[in-house]
Amino acid sequence: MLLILFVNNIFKLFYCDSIINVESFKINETKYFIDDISKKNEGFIGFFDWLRINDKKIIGIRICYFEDLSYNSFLLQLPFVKPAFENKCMEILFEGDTYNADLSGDQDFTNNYVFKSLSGEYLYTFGLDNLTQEELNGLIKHCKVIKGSDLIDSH
Amino acid sequence: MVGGENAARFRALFGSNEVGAKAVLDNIKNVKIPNGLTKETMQAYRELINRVGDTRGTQAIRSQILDHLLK
Repeated sequence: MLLILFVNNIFKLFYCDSIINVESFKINETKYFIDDISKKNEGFIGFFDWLRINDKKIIGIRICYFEDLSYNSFLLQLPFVKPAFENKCMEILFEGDTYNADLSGDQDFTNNYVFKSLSGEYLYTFGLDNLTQEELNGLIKHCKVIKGSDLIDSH
Repeated sequence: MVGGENAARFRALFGSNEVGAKAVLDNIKNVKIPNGLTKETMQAYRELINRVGDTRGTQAIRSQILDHLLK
């Protein structure tokens, strides 16, 4: 799964080789706790589209959460998040500044959880089971790779 | 609940993106509901569709699929 960590007005991408199915875990000595809303909804808090520059390469993500969730207001105030579709969606580009809209309509919704640290850092997870191996390989190049077993063992 | 194990069932039902959903809709008479996916869960998904932006019309097609299956 893809993890996007939002900290100090920047974002960091992590690729985890397994699904994180825990209440909390550590990355870089910071502990993250699952948010009650995403937990209650079993990771279904809206939809996301992978933003593709072509049919093999992903360069970003578009997040469309249910309108009443506080996750929206948090994301919309970040400098690198671009509002889209009348603020109903938010786009984060990992590289470049454009994508092919015709190839970017997944409306996926698997394993989309939100975690939060005690100091207020947010970490969002996204399932990757919709992607081809080629897309996945390209996406991983943007990420720091971590093992799910390391996260679980670090409780 | 729509998430968790049901997410995979919806994936199996809808396919990927608007192209996958359109293919399902075009073949709706032969579509089988994935095992374990209940009408209540499909109804829950149907009601949530209007609460998000529909970036490529994917949700609109999915809603038509569900309307057929929920008749």
